[in-house]
Amino acid sequence: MTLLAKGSEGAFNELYARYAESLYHFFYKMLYQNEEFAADFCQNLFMKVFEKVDSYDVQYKFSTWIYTMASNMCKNEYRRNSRKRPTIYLDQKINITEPQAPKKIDQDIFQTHLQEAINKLDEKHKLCFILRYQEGKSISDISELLDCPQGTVKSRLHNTLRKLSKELYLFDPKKITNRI
Amino acid sequence: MNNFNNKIDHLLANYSFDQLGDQDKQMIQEHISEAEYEMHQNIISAAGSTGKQNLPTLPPHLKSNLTKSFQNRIQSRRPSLLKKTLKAASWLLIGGLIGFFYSNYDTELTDTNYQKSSAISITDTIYITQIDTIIKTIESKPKVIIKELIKVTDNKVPSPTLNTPIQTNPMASTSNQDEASQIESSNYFNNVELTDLTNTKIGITVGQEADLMELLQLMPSDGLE
Repeated sequence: MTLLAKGSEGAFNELYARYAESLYHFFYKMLYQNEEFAADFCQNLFMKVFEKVDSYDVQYKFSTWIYTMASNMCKNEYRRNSRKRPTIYLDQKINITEPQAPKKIDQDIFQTHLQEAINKLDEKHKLCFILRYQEGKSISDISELLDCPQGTVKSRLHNTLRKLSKELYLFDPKKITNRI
Repeated sequence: MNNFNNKIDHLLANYSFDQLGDQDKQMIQEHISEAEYEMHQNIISAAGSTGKQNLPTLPPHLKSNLTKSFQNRIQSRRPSLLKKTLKAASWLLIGGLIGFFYSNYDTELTDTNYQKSSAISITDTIYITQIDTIIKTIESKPKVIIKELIKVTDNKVPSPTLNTPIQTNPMASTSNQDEASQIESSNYFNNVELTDLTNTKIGITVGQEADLMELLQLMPSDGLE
């Protein structure tokens, strides 16, 4: 970051290589699986990093700092477009033309419905769930970047899992296989 | 939520229910059922794989756009060579001017003083009027005027030879008692000094005497003069 502040292009390349893809995917998952949205948000985020490079405190983890900015951008986007969410056509993503084993198909159906259920979650629970189980962040990291206590993060995760369990009960691949 | 502790989170992420030890199974079953545990685990594993599958690749234009904007930002921060030269020249000029001014400071100062002394001085007089009220109280001892009304009667003791007494005073009586009193009063008046009797007139009240009244009127009533 010090090198980036001095204008080192090498530092910028390193930063881009480390974080661009994961942040792009984070935005993609958070913002309605829309690639254009994700690309725009990723670009804006890096611009913010250039602007605020001097205000970065070395005491904190850089990944936490950058993910905090990213999650704040997502929150703002949800607030702005709370009534204008684009329709997601999830069934387009299921590729059932290829011959697949029944178990794989069950897994795909389960994942599709899971994605649909995740998209239905409210902003806070969705953010916690994606950061924990898709981005692999620890609970302490999530609490730091969302600026809330660890207990709150745990509670949100537990509630989300219970909610998703109820919704996806019928699509559980084990149960489907047992039924067959 | 207390029942979702760090240990359960760790176990969910890494082990199936069958892989767990008895203690862990017991601990988990205190909070959630085996079915719930398995369902949670399925969701977590599916979410992880969903998070990795079907993800779009990073658009190539993103990096080029960001590199351009980064370079622009750096250039805007770094001043150009011309700007640097101009800055240095302007600082040199300012420094030279300041040095020149200080070297000629004394002579300029005396010149300006001379000019100041030869110049027509404009003076103005300002009068300040201040009004004040002083109250002086003079105290003096009160003058006490004792007005003494002296009634003088010409008391002539009738001679025993005369039959009819001469009555100068109309108030005079003919009785024996009156006579006795007349004798007493004559004795009294005989003791009065002559100076006290200068302003007295017989048979006239003070109010009727104009001169005396005038004198009394001139006297201040409060005794201050």
